[in-house]
Amino acid sequence: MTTFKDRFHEQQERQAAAYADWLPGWRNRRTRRRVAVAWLIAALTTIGLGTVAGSPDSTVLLVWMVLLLITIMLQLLNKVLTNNMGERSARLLDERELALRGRSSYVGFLVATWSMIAAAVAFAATPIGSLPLAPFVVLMSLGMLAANTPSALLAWQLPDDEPDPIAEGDSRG
Amino acid sequence: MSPVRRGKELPIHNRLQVLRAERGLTRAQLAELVEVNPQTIGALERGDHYPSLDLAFRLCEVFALPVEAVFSRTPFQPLSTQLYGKGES
Repeated sequence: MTTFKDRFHEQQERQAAAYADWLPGWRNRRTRRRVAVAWLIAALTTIGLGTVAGSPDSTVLLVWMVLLLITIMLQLLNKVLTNNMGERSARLLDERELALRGRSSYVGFLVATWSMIAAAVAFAATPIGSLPLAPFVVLMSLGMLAANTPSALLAWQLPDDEPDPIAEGDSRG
Repeated sequence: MSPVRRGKELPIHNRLQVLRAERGLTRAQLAELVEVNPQTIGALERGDHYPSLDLAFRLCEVFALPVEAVFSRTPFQPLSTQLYGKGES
């Protein structure tokens, strides 16, 4: 009998196989690092803007939303370029990938914890009557930062594929 | 309980690349046989990743060799030296 867990894993395997062929020319360390840096800049700018974008009728809120969308797009790109190693089911990862994910997830956990503490302190010290959406905007921005930190770190760390002389010999016939 | 800590002074050398070449196995083929990602075979060959005991046994099974013939704490000598250079010092 196929359980829900089995179906979930099968779906993840299908998804992983589909992503594996996307953007082949971008799957190198240089591009992965560029995307990771672009994401970090977008995420930090979103947070910075989020601190002043708490008013529902301001244009700053609109700009923040656009920046949030850009951050999400870069996040998705990060996941594709790292084969979603940061969030895939453990069953689809081998021991090296699990170890890499473990280390990057721990950094993501630290980023999440400390950014929430910083936000709590900032909210406690700031009257937010004039910016009613401020908690939502700031927590969303911080959530985006923490959620993608593992993938961004993996994008930064993963090495380029080395050429395999034996495989190249095979292909030359 | 003993702490499990892998310092730089305790490396694990392996002969995977030589064995692969000897048997004409690509990284992808070996990876499939031991059920890991081909990049993991590359990381093992570079010494960027030390295998678990389970993976080490699986790799040794592919080559039908004992663990000490594939992994060592000391750098491996070239096979030709080991075969023909025993009398020399």
